[in-house]
Amino acid sequence: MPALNKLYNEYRDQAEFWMIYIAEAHASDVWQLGVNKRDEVVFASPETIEERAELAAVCVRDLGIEFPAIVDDFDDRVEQAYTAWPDRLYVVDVEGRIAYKSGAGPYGFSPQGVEETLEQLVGGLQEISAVR
Amino acid sequence: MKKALLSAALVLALAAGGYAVLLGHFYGVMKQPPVEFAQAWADTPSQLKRWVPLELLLTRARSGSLSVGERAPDFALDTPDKARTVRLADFAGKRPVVLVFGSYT
Repeated sequence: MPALNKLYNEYRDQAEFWMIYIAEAHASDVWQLGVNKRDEVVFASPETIEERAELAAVCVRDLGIEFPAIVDDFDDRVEQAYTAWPDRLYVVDVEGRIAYKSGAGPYGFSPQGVEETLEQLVGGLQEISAVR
Repeated sequence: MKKALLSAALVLALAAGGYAVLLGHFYGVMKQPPVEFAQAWADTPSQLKRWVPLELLLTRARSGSLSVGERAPDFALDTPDKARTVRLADFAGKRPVVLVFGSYT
């Protein structure tokens, strides 16, 4: 997350950044990770969209995420459309097409790939305005 | 001697078959929403977990259907405080969008 915060602060004037909070992979009632238990990140699966939104707010605050967040629908439709769990990064270009798709996290979670894509996309925009 | 070899081969074949079933099982649940995998993982004895190549399976099972160059599926989702609904299509023609999918754990 620090790497993404850094990117956000570098590119926030040229690109949108959104955290999409999806279903918890390791809720305490199904799969408790030792590492989360140590960090006292323990909670049950939310049972309503309101509970999920509350959890999202806690997540954003505690992880120190500086860019804004939105909450996936309770039917996980956006997670499914983007094959997003456990976590994943995308960059969508100005035309609404996928410019970058990371591998499935945590193994494929690569802020560097986002940075390279943004450099290309935003660099390209600057060239166009220079020509004009 | 021949009998011993045969039974050794049989044991090996059974182990390989069981292993294949185990991997297939996890590959299958990884295609589902996260709770399905979490449940299956929680139900697996730790001695067996050591033999599951998580990275390989997860990378394959979660490769997804979208590819670079394709239109990004539109969505409209609320901020946690419900103060704003964000639609992906609203940014088209304006700025690139970085989507960071994740949860707390």
